[in-house]
Amino acid sequence: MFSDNDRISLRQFTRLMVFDLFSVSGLIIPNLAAASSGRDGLLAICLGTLYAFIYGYLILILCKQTGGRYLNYCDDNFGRFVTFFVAIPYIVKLFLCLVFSARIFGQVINQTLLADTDNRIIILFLLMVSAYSASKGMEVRARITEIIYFIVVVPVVLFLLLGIRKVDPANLTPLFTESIKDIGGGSYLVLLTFSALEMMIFAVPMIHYRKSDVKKGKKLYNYAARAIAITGILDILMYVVTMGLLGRKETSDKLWSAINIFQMVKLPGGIVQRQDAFILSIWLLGIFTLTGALFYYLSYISGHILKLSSRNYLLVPLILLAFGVAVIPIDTEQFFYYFKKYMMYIGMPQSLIIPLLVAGTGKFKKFINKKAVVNVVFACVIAAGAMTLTGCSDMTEIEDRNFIQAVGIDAEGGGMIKVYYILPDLKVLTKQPAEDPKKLKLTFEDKDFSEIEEDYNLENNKKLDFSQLKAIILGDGISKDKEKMNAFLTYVENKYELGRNTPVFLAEGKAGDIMDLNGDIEKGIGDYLAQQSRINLRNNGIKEIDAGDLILARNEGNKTVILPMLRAEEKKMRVSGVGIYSEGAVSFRANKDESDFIYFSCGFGKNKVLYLPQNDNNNLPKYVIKINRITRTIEFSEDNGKPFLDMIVEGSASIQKGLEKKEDRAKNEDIEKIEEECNAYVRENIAKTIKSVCMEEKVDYMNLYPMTGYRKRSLWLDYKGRQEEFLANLNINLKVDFHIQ
Amino acid sequence: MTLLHDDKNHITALFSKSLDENIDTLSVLFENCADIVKRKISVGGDNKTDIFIIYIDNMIDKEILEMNTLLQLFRDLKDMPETGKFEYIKDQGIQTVDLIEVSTIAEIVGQILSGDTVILVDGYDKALRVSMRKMPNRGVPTSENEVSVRGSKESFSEAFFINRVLLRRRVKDTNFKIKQYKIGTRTLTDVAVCYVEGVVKPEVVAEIERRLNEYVIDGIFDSGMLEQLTERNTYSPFPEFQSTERPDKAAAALLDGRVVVLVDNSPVAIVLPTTLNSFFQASDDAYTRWEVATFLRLLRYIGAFLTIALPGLYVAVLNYNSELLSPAMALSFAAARGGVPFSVLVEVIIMEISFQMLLEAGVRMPGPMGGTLGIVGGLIIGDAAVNANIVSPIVVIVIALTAITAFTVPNEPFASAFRIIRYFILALSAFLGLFGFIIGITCLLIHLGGLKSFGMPYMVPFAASGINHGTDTKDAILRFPFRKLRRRPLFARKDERTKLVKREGGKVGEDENEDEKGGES
Repeated sequence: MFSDNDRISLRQFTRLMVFDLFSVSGLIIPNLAAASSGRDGLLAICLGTLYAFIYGYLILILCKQTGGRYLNYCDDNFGRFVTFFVAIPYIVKLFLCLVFSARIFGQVINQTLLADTDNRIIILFLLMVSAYSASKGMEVRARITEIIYFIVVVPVVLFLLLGIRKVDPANLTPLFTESIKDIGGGSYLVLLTFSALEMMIFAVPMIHYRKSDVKKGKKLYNYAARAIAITGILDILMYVVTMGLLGRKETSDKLWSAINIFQMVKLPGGIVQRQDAFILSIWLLGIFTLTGALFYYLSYISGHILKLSSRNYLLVPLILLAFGVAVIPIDTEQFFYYFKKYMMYIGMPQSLIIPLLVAGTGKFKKFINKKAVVNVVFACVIAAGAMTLTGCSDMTEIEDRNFIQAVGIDAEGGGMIKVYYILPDLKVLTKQPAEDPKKLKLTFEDKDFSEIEEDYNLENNKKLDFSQLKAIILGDGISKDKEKMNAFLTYVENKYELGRNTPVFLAEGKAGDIMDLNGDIEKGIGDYLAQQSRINLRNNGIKEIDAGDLILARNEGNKTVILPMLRAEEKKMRVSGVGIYSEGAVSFRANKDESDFIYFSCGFGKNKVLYLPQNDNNNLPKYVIKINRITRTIEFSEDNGKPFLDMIVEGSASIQKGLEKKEDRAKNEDIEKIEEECNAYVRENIAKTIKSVCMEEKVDYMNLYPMTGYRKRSLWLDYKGRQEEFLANLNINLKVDFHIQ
Repeated sequence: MTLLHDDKNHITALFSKSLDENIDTLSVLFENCADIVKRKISVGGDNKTDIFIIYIDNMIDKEILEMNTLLQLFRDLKDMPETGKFEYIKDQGIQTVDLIEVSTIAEIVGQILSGDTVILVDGYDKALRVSMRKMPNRGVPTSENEVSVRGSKESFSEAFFINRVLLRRRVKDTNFKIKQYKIGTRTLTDVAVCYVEGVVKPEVVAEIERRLNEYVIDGIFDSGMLEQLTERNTYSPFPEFQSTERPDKAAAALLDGRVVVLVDNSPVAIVLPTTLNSFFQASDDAYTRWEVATFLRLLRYIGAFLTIALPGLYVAVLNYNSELLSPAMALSFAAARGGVPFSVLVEVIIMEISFQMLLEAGVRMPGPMGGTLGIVGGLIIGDAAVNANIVSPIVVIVIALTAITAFTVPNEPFASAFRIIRYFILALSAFLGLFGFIIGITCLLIHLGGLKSFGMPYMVPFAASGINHGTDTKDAILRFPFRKLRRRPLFARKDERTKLVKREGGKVGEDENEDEKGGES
């Protein structure tokens, strides 16, 4: 029969370690690396992981020196009194880690899954479930971890791999641009996230070696190293996706900024609108493993020094204590600051120094063959005041929410903004007999977005809900106003409910004109634009622009975003061109024809149709050519400090109209002629566009400068902070080569 | 306590050499027992002696008694010796193999109550027990609760001896042992502990035997009572034993190294130890191709998850995390909920409890009426409730799906545990949305992770997938091809885990060769 010996297998040990190392660290590591080492965060993570291998090795060596049973070794060599003092730093550290984990996750859940619920309730439940897990012992914890291991790791890895597709390499490169001190400091911070390795010193006696393990010469370090390697890979993935999607500024701004990527990555299939809640829920399973481990080791060490027969009695006071500390009204970022300092200067060094002292002194005592016997009766009384929690979880039933379908924003005079909310026409959308909202378009005018929300709450009996928002339309006024655009993007950034994957459009005139069309468009504007964005724009190979892209461009400063522009016509709307968001506002607008060449130069424009010859608006076009495939190749070079760009736009096209029926040779000649004409036409117009937008307007709409970060590092360094000069000095060698099939 | 019984209802009366005294004792013990048939007769030629025959009416085969015993006693005992009459009667007067001597009143009473015939002889403090049982029974019924498409249709019945036969017929091995006990001071219910010696872990047999003797109870009427009496996880809704009415399933369990416990008057055998995975295995799985069996297993696991999670998930997503829904679904749900007078939680609880009531009523009602109740309750009332806008159509779908998926689990007591857990998860989800849902699932996992059935962790093989060379996972969520299942599961003794090997020197087919190369050594 299986024995209840609180022993775990080597594999279970590895899996426990992976969860202990990654579940909380995974969320904060992009922030730590980006804040301390900037673009070289990746190097910091790699270095930190390398240190972790050494750190783990040292911990196991020290563990071996103490005969594998650390606390018992202390008891035997120094007596319980000394063991008490040895154990106290561990208890403090584990307790602080527990409080930090509970606090950070309490806040994350509060911000994402349970926006209206009291944070204290979340923390209390988190602690109670973790303590319940700890009460079942090491064996049960190991079993649960083995069950949930793949349930957690596989979706998270898949999710991150999907996220890589959206990563902008310019956010991650060039490497080796920060100082060694910064990289070193960052790598030490990364090492701190591996401090859970310290728990091995207590876990080692609980590992059960099977006969086959012994026969095969399996070593514990190999399993610990495996856990470190897996965690390192996951950390790197997490960093790459977070930094690649959010950019340095946002990644380093907030401790748990990584949470935002959960919104931005789209899962294929379109079953769910936003998968962030799903991924977070899965992640939560891992969190319970870590917090459970912290509770377990806390009760294990405390139980040992108090010589309690059942350690589970300690869990209740521990819950109360941890809860009491976790709800102290202090800003989490500030709490983290102190926690980081503690870990840097006390937590991490103590994990090596204390076992080293214990092992060293033990050896020395054995050497002089003298054993100190100190018997001191020790009692500890822990009291914690019960917290009175009032109220319970707040929520709003689904039918009591106004799922906003589209938001339109216009700038008005006197610093005011006008916001339009389009409500769903449930009768049309669901074909169900539902209470029809009297007004499907709500308009509010105020100074700030928060005030507008307040106005809404005063006028409406249903909750404003952005979770199903399909489109945001920015009016001409707001898009040109840097201050208002910034206010809008900050509002989106801080409002978690408003998905960052919401498509954003520009209005040629006022957003209100577009919103007025809501009644004339089947299923409303929101649905129409979502379809437009997903089907028509994507079919043209045009990148879907969402709120996340704008936030990234705003935060990074040197990035531009091309937004599709809409024009309201009589009872219909159409895509009338593009606007280019650059340096905080939409600084350039292009009409339909110009926008085609803006897209071509960016490597988009599949399925676009060209009409030749140009400048002949009076007659029907002689040739109609459809672009079937388009790619853009870019290569930077540098000569005497001046940037050179070789840009090739190539692809395949087909003649839709204008090819006469001839014999093969004559036909081929005709095709070659059309091909030449087509290439010349595209080349000329792209060059014109680059000249007018890049050179004259100084708008780097192709993001050429950020691109040098990963294509030509020396250029990036030469023109660091001098983007305008880069554009002015840039020589472009453009080649267009469409092959007509 | 009476004059002839102690405080534990054990018979304390002594067996005398005087037949009259014994008759008096038995008469007192069976006083006012209208079903007792007894008669004192004299047999033998010159050396006549008195004998006393006693049995319970309709529990024996009277024809055998008359023709094979009484006829012989009257006809063939002419040469009765003066001494050694008991042995003479035993050798010459009774034509049966199933004949034993009993020497205490308690034993005699026990045998009579079990349906045997007892013959007492004057001058001897021992009696003869002749087995000629013929109790009324249903024969071998057809399995109703664990229906199989391809496998055997037989089911255990209330008759203990039939159940033993059903097992013995399937496991023709002298190592197949049946240890019999009597449990219940008043019911003296026969309980058999069946196992295959050499395959089963001896400590598991010892443990069940210890638990059987742990309590003294007045009566046991079903294996369910015995299960509750011997289980350790009293406060867990999950069963510690697997119950089955299928003899083929029980026999397969025996070969896996598990113990089967049969209880007289119970058509359900209990199997131990058990794991969560065992509850998802149906008999059909072993009889059908692995692709189909795997698909069905997957369906069952998904079904089990849905039956636990769906109502909670529905409430959590609708009330807290509607962003998880696609826009069309969110709006559809919102429109469907419009005008419903109850909150989502109350709506779900009303529907859930209504359905459970329907289920309970359907089980209790006579067969044909049960079907009608399902139609009236499920279709007519459900439809009327939706039309009257008391509940939304979505919640009807959710509850119906939850109910249907519960029946995909091929073990009723196990599925019943889900019915209870569902409310726990529902409550947490209603309170804390998806966070509450995850808390519920985590608590469930922790609880299941800590459960053991006779020392076997409940979550094996998922919680210890590498154990037993990882072969237990080959018959878990996925069921590998039959020829790949060469090892017995973890239930069996370590040195008796191999159950399938290729016969040496046998004709080996092409595919078999390939199989050998790819298989385990």
